[in-house]
Amino acid sequence: MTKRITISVPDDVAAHLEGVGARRVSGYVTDAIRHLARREEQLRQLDEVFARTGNPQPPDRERAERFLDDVAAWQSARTTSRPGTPA
Amino acid sequence: MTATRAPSQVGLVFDHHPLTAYASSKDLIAPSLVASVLERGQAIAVSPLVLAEAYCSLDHGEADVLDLLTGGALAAALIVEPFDGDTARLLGRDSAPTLSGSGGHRPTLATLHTAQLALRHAAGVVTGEPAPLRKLLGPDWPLLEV
Repeated sequence: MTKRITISVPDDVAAHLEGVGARRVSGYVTDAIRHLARREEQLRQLDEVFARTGNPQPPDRERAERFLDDVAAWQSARTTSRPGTPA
Repeated sequence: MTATRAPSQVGLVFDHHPLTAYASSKDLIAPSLVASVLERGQAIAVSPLVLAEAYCSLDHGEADVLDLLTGGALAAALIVEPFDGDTARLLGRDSAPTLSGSGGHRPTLATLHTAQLALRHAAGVVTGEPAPLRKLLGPDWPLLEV
């Protein structure tokens, strides 16, 4: 089942959707909304995790961010030095 | 407009240490990493052997806490990769040259599968025992010790 709805979007999003093509807009918006809904559900579940364990302290979050930044930099350098490798 | 990122690009691989440390409330780096990974539109890969190892070392209440991180909606962010016949063959073939020359203590299957996942995804590894993974992956591979 599908339902026709009308939405208003900012100019930059409208310009992007024009590039997507009129026939694919509904699928594109559906995918985007499903992706965001799943992410919201994940964040809700993560809040439940933190309710059980207590919220991570800033040093935990900073350590996590720092390591992910290191991994991203390493992946980028690896892709540059070895084209074709997954990044 | 910002380009859409692939929703499930694996950025990290966990061994059992961050999972057990989180479930037994010793270290909250695992949920911190899950939160950061979600913000970046990435995912974390875990071997099913690692997951079994983690549950083996937890009591019932702690296992419930681990369920919360590895099930439901978060299962899409913390992906348990399959360990099937093809994986077993590939793992054995890939590992044989490394292990035949290594001598001494042999890494567990869970460690070998973790290294294989890290190689497949070119992902950083979070571990409580970096030495065997360092040996398998090389000195420059990004490892976070918990």
